[in-house]
Parts: sequence; C-alpha cells; structure tokens
Amino acid sequence: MNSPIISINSLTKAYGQQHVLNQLNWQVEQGDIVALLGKNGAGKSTLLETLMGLRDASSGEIRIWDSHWNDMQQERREKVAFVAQDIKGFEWMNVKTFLEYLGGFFPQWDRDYCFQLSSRWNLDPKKRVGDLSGGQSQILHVIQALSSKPELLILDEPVAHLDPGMRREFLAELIELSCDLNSTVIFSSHIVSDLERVANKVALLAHGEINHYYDVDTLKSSIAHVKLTGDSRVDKLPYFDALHNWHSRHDGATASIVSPLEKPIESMAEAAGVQVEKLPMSLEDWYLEVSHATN
Amino acid sequence: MQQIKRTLWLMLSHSWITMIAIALLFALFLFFQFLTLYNGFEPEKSFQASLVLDIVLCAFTGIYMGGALLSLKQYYLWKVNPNFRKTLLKSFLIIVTTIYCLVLPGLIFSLGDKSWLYLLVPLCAAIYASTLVLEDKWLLRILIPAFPIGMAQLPSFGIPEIYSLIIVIGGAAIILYRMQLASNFRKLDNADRIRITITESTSIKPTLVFKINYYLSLLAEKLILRPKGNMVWAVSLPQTKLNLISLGYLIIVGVFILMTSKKDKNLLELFSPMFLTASFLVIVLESRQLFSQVKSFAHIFSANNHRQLKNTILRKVDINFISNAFTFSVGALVLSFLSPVQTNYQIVFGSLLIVMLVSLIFLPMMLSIQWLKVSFAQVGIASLYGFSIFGSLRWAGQNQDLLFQPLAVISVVSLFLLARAGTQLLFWQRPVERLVKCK
Repeated sequence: MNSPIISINSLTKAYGQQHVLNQLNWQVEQGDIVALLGKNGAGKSTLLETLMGLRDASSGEIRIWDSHWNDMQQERREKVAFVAQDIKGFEWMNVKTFLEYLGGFFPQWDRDYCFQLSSRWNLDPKKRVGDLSGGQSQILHVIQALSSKPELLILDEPVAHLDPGMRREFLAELIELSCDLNSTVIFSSHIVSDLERVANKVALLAHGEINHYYDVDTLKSSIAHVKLTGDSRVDKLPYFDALHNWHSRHDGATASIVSPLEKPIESMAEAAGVQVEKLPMSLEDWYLEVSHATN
Repeated sequence: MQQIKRTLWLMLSHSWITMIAIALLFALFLFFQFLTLYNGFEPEKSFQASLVLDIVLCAFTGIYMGGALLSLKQYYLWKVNPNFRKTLLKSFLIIVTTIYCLVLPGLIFSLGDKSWLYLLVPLCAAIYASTLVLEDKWLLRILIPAFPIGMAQLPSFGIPEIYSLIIVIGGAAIILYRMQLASNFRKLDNADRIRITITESTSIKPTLVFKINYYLSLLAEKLILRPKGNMVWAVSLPQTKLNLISLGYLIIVGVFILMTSKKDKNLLELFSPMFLTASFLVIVLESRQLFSQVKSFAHIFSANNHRQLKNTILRKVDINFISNAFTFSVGALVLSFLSPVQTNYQIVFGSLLIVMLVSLIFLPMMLSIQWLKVSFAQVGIASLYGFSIFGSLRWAGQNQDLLFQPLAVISVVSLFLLARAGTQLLFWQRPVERLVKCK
C-alpha cells in the first residue's frame, strides 16, 4: 500500500448555515487516479478548491505530503497543478504566450511536450485565448496543467466541454502522466464511462461526506444486479442487509450489490435457502443506484 | 527575471487602448507641464500645478495597471504560489514606479523648500487609485481612494501638513502590504462573471448597475414601453452603465473644480480641459463593452431581415451614445455654471462635441472591425478631430465677425457628415455574420 499523499480529517466547509462538506474524512494515496463523483451541488468543486487551498475550510484539517498548504515548501507547491471548472481571464493573450507564461512558474514545465500536445489537439498557438471555444479553452488549461508535469494534479470537471474523441485522448494522457511520474490525479466528472477507462479509485461525495471510496477493479468485480429465486416471496432478511434496492416478488426477490460484500452473495443465499443469479452492473448503473440510495 | 519581463509586457498589453491612453496622458502631461513653466506661475502655483498633474497621471496609471493585475491575480496560482504573487506585484510596482519616475523631475524642480515627502505623493496616488479596481468590496473602493483626499484637508484644521503626508504614505504602505497577501484572492463569483462578459469596467460594480437597471426597467415598463417588457431592461443595461460612468467622472471633475478657489483661476483653466479630455478617453474606453451586448439583443427588435437587423444594431448604439453625450453635456454645463470661473465654457462645449461627434463617426467602424485595429485609427483621428474642433472654436472666438462663426460650424458639420458617411458605408458592406461575430 502506498503512503497517503492527501489526508483529510473532519473537514467541514459551510456557506452561512449550509454545510457543503460535513466532517469529511478521506485519504488519497500516491499514484492513484481518483474519479470524484457526485450530483450537481454535492460539493465536488468546493472539496477540490478547499483541497487546493483556494477556499478556507470552516474546520478540519487537510494535509498534502504531510504539510498544510501554508507550511508547504515552494518546491512542493510547484508540483501541484489545478484546472478549475470554469476559468476566465487571460483573454488578451494568445495561446502560445499563455502556455509559456504560466509554464514559467513551474520549474519542471516541459515546453516541447506542451507544444506537442497543443499541436496534436489542434490548438492554434496564435489564436487569442478570448476567442477559444469552451472546449478549446478547457483543453488549453489541461495542456498547461499536464505539461507542468505535476506530482499532484487536481481537475474539476476537466472533460465537461470536450467531444468524445478529445476526452479519450485526454484520459490517455492522464494515464501516461500517472505511469511516467507516479503522479496522483483527482478529477471530478459526471461522465461515468470515463472513470472506467482511467481511474483506479472512485469516490462518491454525498451529504458532505465521501460515502463510497473503492478500488475500481474491486468495485467492478463486486457490483451486480441479483435475482434471488425461491419457492415463495423472499423478504429482506438480515442476511441481505448489505444489498440495495430490494424488491420482493412472488417467487423470490431482486436487489443490487453496490459495494464489496464481506461474505459472498452465494453463501448468503445458501443460508437463506434461495438460489441466486448475478447479472452484470455497469458503473453508470452503480452510480445511479448509490446516488438514489443516498437520497 | 524572465517571468517579470513577461508579466510587464502582459500587463502593458492587457489593453492596447489603455497603453495608448497612458501615452496620450503623458503627452498631455508634458504639454501642461510646459505650459505651467511657460506661463511663469509663481513658485507656489507652479508646485501645485506639478503636483496635481503628477497625481492625475499616476492615479490613471494605478487604475489601469490595477485592472491588469486584477485580471492576472484571479488565477489560482495567486493563492497557492508565492512566486506568482511576487512576480505580479513586482511588475505592477515597476510599471507604476517607472511612470512616477518619468513625471518626478517636474515636481523636484518646483519643490522649493517644501517637504521632500511631497515627492512620494504621486506614487501613493497610484497605489490608492489601484484600489478602485482591486478592492473586493464596493465600500472600500470608495473609502480607500477617498482617504488621502480627506487627509489633504487636515492642514485646514490646523494640523501640520507633514502629519497628513506621513499618514497618507503610511496608508499606501498598508495597501501594498495587503495587496501581497494570499487571502487577497477572489474567485470569480457570478457578478464578476457578468462583469467579464459584459464589461471590464474599472469603476462600477455590475450588481449596482443591475439594481439601477431593474428599477429603471420597472419605470420604463410602467410608463413608457409596457409591451416590450423586460427587454427594455436588457437593452438599457449598457446604456445605464455608460451614463453612470460619465456621471462618475463628471462628479470627480466637479469636486475638483468646485474645491478650487477663485484665486486659483489659472490652475482651473489649465486643468479643466485636461480632465475633460481624460474623461472623454475613459468613456470611449468603456464604450467598447457596449457592442457585444447590443448586438446580442438586436435580433429581438428586428424581423428576419439582415438589413433591418443591421439598422437596429446601429440605431441602438447611436442612441446609447447620444444619450451618454447628453448626460455628459448636462453635467458639464451644470459644472460650468457652478464653476468659480466662467472662462472654460468654450472648452467644455468643445469637449462635449468631441465626445458626441467622434463617437458617432467611429461607431459604425467600431461595430464592424476588430477593436485593436480601430483603436489606433480612432485615437489618431480623434486627436485630429479634437484639434480641429478646438481650432474652430478658437478661430470663431477670435473672429467675432458673424460671418466666421457659421463658417466654422458648417465646416465642422460637413466634416462630421462626410466621415460618418464613410464609416457607415464600411458598416453596411460587412456581412451580418461578421458584424455579430466581431468583438
């Protein structure tokens, strides 16, 4: 197990009376690519911005590389990159100036890689930043972040404005970055199919807490729709407490497994005297199930 | 060092028109500085003239460089990277100090036996003025720049000048200290986003304009344009904003003129045209923000007809400018009546004509070609046109023969009509897609 790069303890962030983050605890390990999921208004941006030190926490503690932002050394700070959800400003610069200027604040900035990416992603270096479309503007900021070769990269909805082709290319770059530099990446997204491609961990933010945080492979192998068949109706017995979305039927029941179970479902079914059939569940279905459950 | 050089260039190129405006202001400064020397003011008057000129130029520089700093410091690195913060602040200070150093010799020359602390006042003016843009809270934007003006009144209560100077310089140091704090970062909130979309005003908070527009729209809806409903609000937004800016500048100029006593008549005659010319430049700078919004609403008032759409865009923008010039005229005429000296009437009138006529000439051009290209053309031709109006007025004033005055008016009007016809032709030749896309 890797050492945690980010350690969040009892983090609370309130806007007036509204608690967006509520006693949140979370640890992210070095080299992980974490997809942060959550509904609109769940507090994903607030969490990421608080993590970056852009917002002050109401209470609690965030440690990155075992330091608070305020105590972090300059060399460490320069190894963190962030792409906000909606970035404005710099309209008067052209793409080349923008990339070179901001790259200059990151000692490990890779100029060749930067312009190689911008050329591959069809970003005209002479075009004014103010004239870029929403998607191009997002690509620009992503290029800037990637080419600074960060050890910790935080992206807030990085693919929201990108077309499917661009999304794939961008995600491939993320994996490459993580493999090359053992970088840790946290990105929020609504597009669940993306996380299957790139993330090795998935976190679900709901009610101000990280409700689910799993290894993607473990999760994918665990989640399933299940059909329990018996001689008669099967009610939700204590054996099946870990199952979600329980529906009793005249000849059994249907339910969902949304998290790794302590015991295999087969042994539960055997104890209850019913037969079990597992049907595959996509991560998108899983997300809908758990976000429905958290309601 | 490389990053500082880059930042300097980015700050200066943040707004080309700003750079040109500062250069023009500097030229004006040299011209008026020369006049003060040429007019042979007594030492005290000469010192006052130099000080006010330096303060005005440095304050304008402070406001505009504050705008550039604001644009850059909204990036997340401001909060998390002390190196980024230092680079931006150093660059801001280098530009402001360079302008300050350029204007300083005149002040040193006229300082006489006054305290050397006076030499720091223009630099402080730049720092205080920058808070007009940089401060987050509306109240602070007024109070901080007003603070040194308040302190300047202390000597009239018997407090030695030196104390008020020390307080003002100390205040500027505190502002500088506050500027470099990481907490002095604000993410763009909704109001800021609107500001960036609609206008990058240096002076008026968009939420305030929205409120004013809301009440204006209610009034307009009830009394004048009931059938058009809330669209009135949408279209009146840029107009109200521009008018408020005009009024804001008139109030600043007005306070200065009214504070000047009769014995400083010479100074007043000297500064009024400078202030009015500067106000004109600022209004033109602000006016460019109008276009995108007027264009985006124009389709509401026209059928599916490109000709009508073009006509509507042009008409709406014309109306905005004429109403703005009217606001400026009324304000300036009231000022000229309240003013302790009556001699600046011609200058006030000439400035108003410049504001209105030059704007009307260049409006079609500004709507149809990129702002950067038009900026250079506009500033050059505006200066020529301004000189021609002043020249005509002066000529008419010197030749009291009734024959000459109509001739001057006819020549100005003909020049105006000819120029306007030319720019309007350019506007009509552009395809409507280009017009709407053009920023």
